[in-house]
Amino acid sequence: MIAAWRSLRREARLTEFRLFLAALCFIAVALSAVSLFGSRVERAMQAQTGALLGADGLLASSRPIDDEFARLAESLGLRTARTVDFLSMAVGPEDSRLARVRAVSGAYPLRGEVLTRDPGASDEGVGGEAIAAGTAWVAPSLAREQSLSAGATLSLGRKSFEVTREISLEPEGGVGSFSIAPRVMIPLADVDATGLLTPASRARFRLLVAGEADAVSAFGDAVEERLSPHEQWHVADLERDEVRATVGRVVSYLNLAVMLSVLLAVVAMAVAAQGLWRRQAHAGALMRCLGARHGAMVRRQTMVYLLAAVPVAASGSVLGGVFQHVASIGVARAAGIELPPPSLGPALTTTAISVLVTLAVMVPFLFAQRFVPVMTLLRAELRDRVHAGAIGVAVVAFLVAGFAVLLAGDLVLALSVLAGLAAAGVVFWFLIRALLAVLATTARAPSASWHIALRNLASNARRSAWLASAFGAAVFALVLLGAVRGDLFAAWNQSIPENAPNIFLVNIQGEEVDAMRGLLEQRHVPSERFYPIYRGRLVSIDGEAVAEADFESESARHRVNHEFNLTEDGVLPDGNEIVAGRWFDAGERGFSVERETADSLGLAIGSRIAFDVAGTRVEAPVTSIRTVRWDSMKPNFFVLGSPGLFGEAPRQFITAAFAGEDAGDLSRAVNRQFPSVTLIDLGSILDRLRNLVEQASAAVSVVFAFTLAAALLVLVAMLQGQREARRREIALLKTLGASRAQIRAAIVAEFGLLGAVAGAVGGALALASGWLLAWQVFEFDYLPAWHWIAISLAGGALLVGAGGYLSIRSLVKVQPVRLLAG
Amino acid sequence: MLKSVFASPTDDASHSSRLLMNSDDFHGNQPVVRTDRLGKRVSVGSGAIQILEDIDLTVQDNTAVSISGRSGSGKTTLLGLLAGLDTPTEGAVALFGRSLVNLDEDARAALRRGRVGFVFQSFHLLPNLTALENVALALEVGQPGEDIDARAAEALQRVGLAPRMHHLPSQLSGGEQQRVALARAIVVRPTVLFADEPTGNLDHATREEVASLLFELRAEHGCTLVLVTHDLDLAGRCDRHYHLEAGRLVS
Repeated sequence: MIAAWRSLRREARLTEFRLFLAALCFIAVALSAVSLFGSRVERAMQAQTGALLGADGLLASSRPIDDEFARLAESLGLRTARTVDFLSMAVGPEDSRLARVRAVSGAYPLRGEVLTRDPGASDEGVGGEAIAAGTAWVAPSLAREQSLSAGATLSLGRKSFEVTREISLEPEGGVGSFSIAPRVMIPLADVDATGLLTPASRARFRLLVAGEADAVSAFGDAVEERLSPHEQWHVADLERDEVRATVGRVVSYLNLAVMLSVLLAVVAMAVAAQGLWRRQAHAGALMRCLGARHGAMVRRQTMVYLLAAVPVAASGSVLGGVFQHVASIGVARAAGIELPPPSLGPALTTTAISVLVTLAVMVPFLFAQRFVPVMTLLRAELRDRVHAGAIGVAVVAFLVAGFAVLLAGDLVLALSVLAGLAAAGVVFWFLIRALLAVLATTARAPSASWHIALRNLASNARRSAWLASAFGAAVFALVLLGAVRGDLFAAWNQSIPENAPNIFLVNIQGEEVDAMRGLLEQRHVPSERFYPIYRGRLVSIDGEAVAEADFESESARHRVNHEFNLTEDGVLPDGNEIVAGRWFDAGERGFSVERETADSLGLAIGSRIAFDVAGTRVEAPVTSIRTVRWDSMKPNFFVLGSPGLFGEAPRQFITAAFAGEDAGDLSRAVNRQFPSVTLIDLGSILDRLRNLVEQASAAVSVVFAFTLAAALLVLVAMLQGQREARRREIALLKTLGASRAQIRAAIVAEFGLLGAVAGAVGGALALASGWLLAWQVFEFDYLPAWHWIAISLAGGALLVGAGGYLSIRSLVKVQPVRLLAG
Repeated sequence: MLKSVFASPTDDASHSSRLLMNSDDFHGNQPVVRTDRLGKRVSVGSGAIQILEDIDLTVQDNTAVSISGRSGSGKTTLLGLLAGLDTPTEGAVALFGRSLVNLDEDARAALRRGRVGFVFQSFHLLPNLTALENVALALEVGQPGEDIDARAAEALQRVGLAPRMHHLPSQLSGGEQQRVALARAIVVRPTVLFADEPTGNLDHATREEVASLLFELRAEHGCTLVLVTHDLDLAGRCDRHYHLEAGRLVS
């Protein structure tokens, strides 16, 4: 151990070793910052999804829920709340009306918030208030219909409530709430006083929980083991159709950013390691000449790397944690969201991964040193054969592939990037060699310096291509993340048309359709088609009755357990695309099913499915499977029936409309004219999501900064690795009579040319990859911005030219004798 | 013939370890290095080049032997074979009475450990180690103990570099670097010192200085010297002289 410490102190004097540790520290910082930050953003998004449910998970039952469950949740550190839902007649000053009563405990909701406003107001509303004893909050439609103002009295059973607020947004108030009766919210403690709940009452009791994901899932596991037939467990997940597409994209983009910056850091590390490998091959040969055993050297060097890597990786992880903390404060403030606190797990994992990367880069080479002949000490020409090219390529390829799979969490993304990188590697190598060859043979050197630069490029084609490829990879990552980021998010915004619907009108009765259409036209509000909605429960597949227990996936169980919103349509809705089967022929009976729903339920073309629609069994084969563009903000359906399939079953209608900024006015008008129609202001949900997406993209700038630093590290490592060769070249040039000015100009020209070629090729490949990703992963049309090639060409020339000059500037000043002596 | 000269080298592991013990019992009456029809052939492309052929030489304890020859005559290859840095393709070579032919690299390294010193033409000092640490390295590998730094400092003092002991190689002149290398070679009190063109990279005045120091140190330590050089003056200081021509010993 003492010997290892001594060796470590000595190794630390090597620039190559310090660069290697810098790259390691960088990997730890980048991994830690982005994984901590990424996981927090993802959890925040999960929480936003939870906000749609009001909790991270909930236990629902048709009977009162045993306190034992609440105690179990609390023992796991989860927060709990309770609600009871039931239908009751609400008696107002003018009339009585069937209402959906929700009695809530003080902590409700655990995620998201209930936004309320003064009855009759049109503002967005405020959240965070707890409902006071003896008071009731009501849906806008009820307030309008009953002319309820603040202080009005509303009776439920034996108890009278003072109406204090109107509910503008509540959890689960999304698109899925197709219901006839308006909401009334009261405190849970007042339920008994109403006398409405008896053991025979039809009510829905719910226990809501929220907290750490692990605790929620532990609670879920414990609960599922003892569920009675009348109880169900639900978790908030990213399955909600209207947010899933958006969240999925942001997560994919974060993954991409993390992956590229870490891969770049790994490249920097491998490049830095190459210089170290050469040094150690020499030291190893000398040690063996002096009598050292190879095995003992491997053990000792491994110990040296561990001693260096553990504290460096741990410090890097902590530093990364600090970076992400600073970034998250800004993001949380700007996005108006609360990021969950970071956990220690990722930091420890990051440290462990960084140390493993170090060992993965260095240990294979330590073993390979056995094959470096000791005779290299006597024969200089053998030294030139001591290059670890094959090992290096294998180690880097292995690490890059491993990291891609580890970080992506998305196979398509990992494969896209890996395929892109592999192709880029090959293209870089050959394209750059070809370009350099053409440059060197066809370009006419205007001066001696240019002549030297071109000759150097051509005669060291392998070295030049290697430097250009590594730098090109850095440009590739930078352009992909930087330029493509902006373009991707711009494209995403454009994918939501200016006049995309921002309100949904639901519960429209058949006889109200024409009048509603008239109202919208009169107010110049463009609307979608009016779709009939039939509520139906899936009862059989291919003649066999279905039960929740038949399915493994949570989404399939959820679907079986809940009623579907079914519609019938003779025309394939916009944003839908048939991927199997065909659209209904005239007079044909059939169902068209959304692809993921079909997958989760095991449906294929020809499967016969039956729904119970208001007591009538409707059975038909699946004739087509569709993909649906969920973020089109139009009414979308998991299951569509052929025209006339549902016969005379009871139905309501739904439409979506673009009310612009006038949603409030329209809301009042709708409520006045159509008291039973519910208007859902999707705008506020959308705004919140869009805000989150924009902030997430801003947060990725932090990751981008890391990538930029990693790219610079690659450049420094590359140039450092070339110092020895440059030293000899400069000595030779000076001996042959070249002036310092000529040498300087030649260096700048050579590196500048190399940077320009690397920049142009890297930029072009990044645009091609961006297009591929937009098409395959992000799913929108993307027109590459070609000016990025020019920018990366100029940037590459400037950066590599300046970097190259700075890195060997000191060699230009030294006397040739001194250079040759070393 | 080989068996009669080389104490029956075999592939048998137990026999090898016995031979190793025998080599520890090495004493002055035995030759330090001995070869028998030693040869080295290397592949080049589809053909092969015979670098050394039928080399028979013996180096007795406490003698200085020089090997000279023109560039490409095989001097350095021969030195590598004698020191066990390389393996022959023909014939046999023994160091301290032990055949090197059947030994793997670790066993050959063990044989050299603490008993063989090297001086190279291009010094081969590790650039990140100070002069003192470079010298101490030989002790750390060959003779670990408490007093490593003191012994290394003493060796540096002997070569006149005590004031520069904490300098890195890049801060030393060529002559100074070679003196550090000399200190590294003698600090383990080797039985044999192999030197490959030790003055080849030095100017005339420094060359003389380093050569004198080399022979002084050899005399002080009473060690055997195997010196490869094309410098006839330097070769002339040795007790015995071999000359190589096209891979064969001619004198």
